[in-house]
Amino acid sequence: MFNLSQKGKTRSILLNEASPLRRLDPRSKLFVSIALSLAVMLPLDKLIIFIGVYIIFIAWARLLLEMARQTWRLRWILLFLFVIDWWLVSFELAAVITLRLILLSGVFALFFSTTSTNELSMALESLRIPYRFAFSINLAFQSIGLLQEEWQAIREAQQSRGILVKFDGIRQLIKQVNDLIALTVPAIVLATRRAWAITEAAYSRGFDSPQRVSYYQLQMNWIDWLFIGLILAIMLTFIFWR
Amino acid sequence: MKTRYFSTFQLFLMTLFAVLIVVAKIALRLPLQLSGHSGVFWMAIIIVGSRVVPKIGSASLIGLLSGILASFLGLGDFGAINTLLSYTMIGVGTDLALLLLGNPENLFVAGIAGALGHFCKFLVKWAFGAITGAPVGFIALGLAKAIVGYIVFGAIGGILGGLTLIALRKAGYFKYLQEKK
Amino acid sequence: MPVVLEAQEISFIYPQNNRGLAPVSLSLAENEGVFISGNSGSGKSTFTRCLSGLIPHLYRGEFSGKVLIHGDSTQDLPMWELADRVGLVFQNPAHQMLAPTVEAEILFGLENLGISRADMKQRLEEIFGFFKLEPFRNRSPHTLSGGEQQKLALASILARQPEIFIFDEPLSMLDTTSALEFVAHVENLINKGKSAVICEHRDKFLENSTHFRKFLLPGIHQPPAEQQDITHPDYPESLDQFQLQVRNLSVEKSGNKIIREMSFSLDSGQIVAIVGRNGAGKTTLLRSLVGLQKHNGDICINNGTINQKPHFRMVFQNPDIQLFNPSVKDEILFKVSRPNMQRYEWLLEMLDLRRYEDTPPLLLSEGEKRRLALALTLMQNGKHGVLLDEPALGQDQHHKDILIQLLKKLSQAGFLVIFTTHDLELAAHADHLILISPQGIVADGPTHEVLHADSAWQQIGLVRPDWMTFDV
Repeated sequence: MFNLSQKGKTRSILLNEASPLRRLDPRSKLFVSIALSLAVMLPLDKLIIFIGVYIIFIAWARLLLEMARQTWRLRWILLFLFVIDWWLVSFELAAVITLRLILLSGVFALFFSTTSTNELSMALESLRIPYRFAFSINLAFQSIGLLQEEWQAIREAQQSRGILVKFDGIRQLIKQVNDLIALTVPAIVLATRRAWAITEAAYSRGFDSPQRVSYYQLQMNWIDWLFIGLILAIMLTFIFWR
Repeated sequence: MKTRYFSTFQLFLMTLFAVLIVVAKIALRLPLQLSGHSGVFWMAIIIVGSRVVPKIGSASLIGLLSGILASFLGLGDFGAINTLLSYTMIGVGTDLALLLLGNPENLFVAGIAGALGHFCKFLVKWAFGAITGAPVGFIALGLAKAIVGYIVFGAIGGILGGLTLIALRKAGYFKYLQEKK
Repeated sequence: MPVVLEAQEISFIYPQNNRGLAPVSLSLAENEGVFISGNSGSGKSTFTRCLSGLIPHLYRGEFSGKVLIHGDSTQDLPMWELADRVGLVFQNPAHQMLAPTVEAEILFGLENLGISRADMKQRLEEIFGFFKLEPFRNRSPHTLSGGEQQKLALASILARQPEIFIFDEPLSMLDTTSALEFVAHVENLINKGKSAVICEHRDKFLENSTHFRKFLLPGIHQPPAEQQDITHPDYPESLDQFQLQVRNLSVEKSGNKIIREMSFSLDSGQIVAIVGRNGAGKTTLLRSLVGLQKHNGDICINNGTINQKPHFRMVFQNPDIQLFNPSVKDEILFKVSRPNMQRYEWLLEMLDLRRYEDTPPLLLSEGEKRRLALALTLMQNGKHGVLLDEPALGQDQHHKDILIQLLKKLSQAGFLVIFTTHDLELAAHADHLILISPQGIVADGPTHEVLHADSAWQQIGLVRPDWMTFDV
């Protein structure tokens, strides 16, 4: 796995291995994420109860901490919207919108933080996406670390030739936009060379063969169907219960 | 070789350009305190990509791929699905803009296409607001930022993309590309 | 022995620069090994692409002649079917890795064969056992060393069990120990009845093997033969004497000690080689000296009276990270304020770049691009000298000679020239040699002494084969 640092904080694709959702088929998780996100259509009273059930579910899936962090990142935006909507419309609307946003901004973490990139490409393949696209997505994930190193190397090397790579203001940025091609041109060239090397390497190992058989395969188990059934039952109850 | 809309090489090229977008997005930390500044390299790469793979839909595909990457990496504040859609829409917007405007090696075209493409990201936020029923607040929140950030940085990015294309052509890149299927 | 592969008068011209492969014929029998030798620019890489069918399937250009594999023309078979018969291993091991784990890397090729899962499993386990890859099974191929990656590249082809193996300069990125090990693997393939064509410019590794018949590729562009005799003018400037002093240098990256407590001092006016295996910290050491790497400890320049910060220029491993201008001239002079044109002329002369002054950099060959990167770095003012990271990677003997001549002129002018390398024959040309391992400096002294310090070489695990001569 690789780490990426953003604003001093490290971002990484860290699979939540502790989550029981790790054992489920990615396709069922995708379905469940979509199903749960439909709860944005619920009115306030139902939504409050639903959020209660949702939190219990998230806690069971051991994703509570991640969801809380996500909501915390949004705290200022949520507060701003809440105040504006309360002031311009009503308290009820402000509350509904805040809850819907919390739900929508986090619900797909069910899928993204419990699915490996490998499982993603297998899921795509089983959803009839052509193999070369599924392979490309896998390739993209592996290339992040490498391209990041290259980008860093380009910046360093060009900086040592006196080329601007730090910006202090928008005016300076506009004035020196010409210098930036010293970064973009090598980055594009290196990415192109890598794309070509991968093309050659893939074809010399039989890429595009019509006989291809996957070694690993996804399998929907009874637990997947049980899980899907349960979530469906919950969603239907919420929608039709008066 | 089977002929397809995008050759395998072109597909891998678009994949790596999508990776470049994510890498640039993470690496670029402008102390400008303006939203949308990451659009500079972002739009530049999309514009370059749309010429390097000169087919309709290439910018959209680069956008979609970068969106999938960004969703997994947890980039963006409004959660995975918003991130996926915003990134994809930037590509779709650029494709449409270039379809209308023509070759981005003309810097004027590149700037407009960059601004339009980048502005599409704002449309996703707006739609996101509409779905949750919060257009009032969202527009208030969005407009001020969108006008300054999305359009200006998108345009700068577009121009950078155009300049990059011109430099690539002079440096012999397209000749190198031409011999590969 | 039946012929398995036959190239009949094949040639190929790239549209971008009119270079390529001059007409050549070759036939390869079952259970035979052929070693293709030829200068840079003779078309070795192009030849491997023709033999494996990548040309004309993936390349546009003028292809003529015919390549027959088991009697079928490469033009008539689809690429995936050709790949079942011919396996191709590339020059740069890192660039041919395309899966997230070592296991997936091998499976990638197996899945395309269309065999049953049980067969795949059996072949997978056989290969893991044969190449002793088990400890790496779930690791990312990109975390392996160059030698291990090249072995994995071979393993992932071998698992597909083609009859013919083609290698495109597989040794150029490997250190001596890994290169010898790799050659042994290829010899083993031939012993088992496979056929192999191996293109390589590190001739000696193959000339000393009895498994290969040598075949010289004629080439389109022959470098002028009298090149060696030209006496080049001296570097037009000169530097005062100084000493580089490094005390207790340590570098830590994400919790790992890359360099621990290194101390040494070097006088100006000499060439210094830093040799060590992968991961010994060679590049990190150079980066610390040039100021790109955060470190602990002291690095200073002493000119007899005062201490000052060193001011070096560095030539990076990959020339592509810097080239973006429309011509070689623009590239060399980019952002150089008040350029010293005398030096510029000298560099063009020394590095044999004059005829490319107006050529776009991306259209140069790998060797030429490396020389260009060297020129643009030297055009910047480095007060104390120049650092070069693996300058010999992928270079043939002719280019190495050019490089050595240039470094000698620089050191004679008073520069401190430091380079890292895994190529012992290049290191032998240095005045001073430092051997490093992850534990620190293993040996440090005049080159002729360090080259014969047997225990030091054993300690870092680098083999000095008998045929390797260090007489300079």
